[in-house]
Amino acid sequence: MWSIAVTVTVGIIIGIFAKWNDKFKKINSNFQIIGLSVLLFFMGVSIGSNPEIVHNLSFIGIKSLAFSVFTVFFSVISIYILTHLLRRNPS
Amino acid sequence: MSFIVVISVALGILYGIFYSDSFIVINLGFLSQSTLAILLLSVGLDIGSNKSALSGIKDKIYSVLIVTLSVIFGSLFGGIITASLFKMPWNEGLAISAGFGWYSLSGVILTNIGNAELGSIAFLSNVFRELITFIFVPIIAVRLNYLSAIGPAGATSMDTTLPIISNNTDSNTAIIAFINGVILSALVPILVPLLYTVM
Repeated sequence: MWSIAVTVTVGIIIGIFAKWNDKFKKINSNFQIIGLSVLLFFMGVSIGSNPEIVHNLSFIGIKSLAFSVFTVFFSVISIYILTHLLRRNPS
Repeated sequence: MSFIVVISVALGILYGIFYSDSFIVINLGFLSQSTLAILLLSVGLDIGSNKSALSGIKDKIYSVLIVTLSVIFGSLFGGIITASLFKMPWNEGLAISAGFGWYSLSGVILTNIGNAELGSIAFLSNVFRELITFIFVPIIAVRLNYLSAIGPAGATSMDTTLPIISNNTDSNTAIIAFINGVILSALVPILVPLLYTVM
């Protein structure tokens, strides 16, 4: 929790005081995509190497999937409707 | 982007199944923590180098309110719907959905105050929520709007899913996502036991 806040804050501070150009922003953006892929690979490894999850996947998987689909769906729809009702569409 | 997500996770799962005693698996905690730290530094650089991202705090508080309240009520409503579908008690559905994607914590809490199966569902459903987030954030950001793209992430929008939100939206949205994640993460250890025992 604290390490997260510290890392992001350090990044923000460096970002404010350093002089970045568009080329750097492009490199940084591509770097994020590579880093994300590595992180996602590790996330997959943590699922695959846990026999309890692999074993239980079919047993409780459908229920779990339903929970995630419905929570995501209603969270997104609620934000979308509110941003439109309140005329906020930043994209 | 969504394609990269699916491929990376799938490769990871296969690697985990077939090489369960390798160096990567043994040092997984350290490896993923370090990768995340470097990524978050990169997201911070993004935010800091964008001058407009750090202005207009009043405007941001308004956006955070919309997003955070929507995620809370949307998730809990989704929890009730799913519980009804599977004829589960509402308190279990509410407690699972109040994990807001933070699988390790909600899984541990519900294993302790509930039972192993409930804990596993909480764990898995929040793992799935994170996976769904990685796949759908790029799509939602284009098809709906940037603020809606924070919705799937829930509590994880302050760490694991912040890079994908930042990469597919703008610095302004990344800051709102981060604050949203901090608030929701603080609520998880309070709401999960509360909804399970009180409802």
